[in-house]
Amino acid sequence: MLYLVDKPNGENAARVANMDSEAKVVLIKDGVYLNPIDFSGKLYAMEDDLEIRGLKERLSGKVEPIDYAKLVDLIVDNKVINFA
Amino acid sequence: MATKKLLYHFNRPPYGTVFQTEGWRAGVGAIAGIDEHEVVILMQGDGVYYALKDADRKENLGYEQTLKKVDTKVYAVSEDLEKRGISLNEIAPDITLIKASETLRLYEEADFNLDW
Repeated sequence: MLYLVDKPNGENAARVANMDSEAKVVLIKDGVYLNPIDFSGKLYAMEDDLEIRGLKERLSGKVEPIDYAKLVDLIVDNKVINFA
Repeated sequence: MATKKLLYHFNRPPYGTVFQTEGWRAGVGAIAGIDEHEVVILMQGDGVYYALKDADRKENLGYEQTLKKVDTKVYAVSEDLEKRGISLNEIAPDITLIKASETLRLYEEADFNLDW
């Protein structure tokens, strides 16, 4: 399933997502401040949210930056769980 | 649209914002429509503070009573209660405890989920 994750719900989201062997996680808004280490599945982050916070160059190799077009594709292709 | 199973997850502290009340209200909306969807409520993280038996539930009482009429299940994650120092005798009797390890199943069983 696809998990859309903002910071306030990060802990709840990580717990559910880490039980899901098919998890894809998208960090959104302040969610990009969450620690990638806390998530075990495939991890994406919104490019715009990284850029505005000056995090683009500090990104962990584990995280794939994506744009809105890719986000739409992910939402259409997966069952979505919103933690944003 | 046929009847769907909806999971409403309450992730935020219950007071100070309108999120949780809106969740209860929307729950009634879902069960009351033509399709009579089934709603399951899951409190986790700071959302579990609502499970305290002394919590003021006046604001949501009407919604909760309506949801009870269709046997809506209301779960709270036991680890999250424990982490917040809430013991079993402090929890309202109409709340069902669920282990964190069982929550993924609720998401899998639901057709849709909504975050409050």
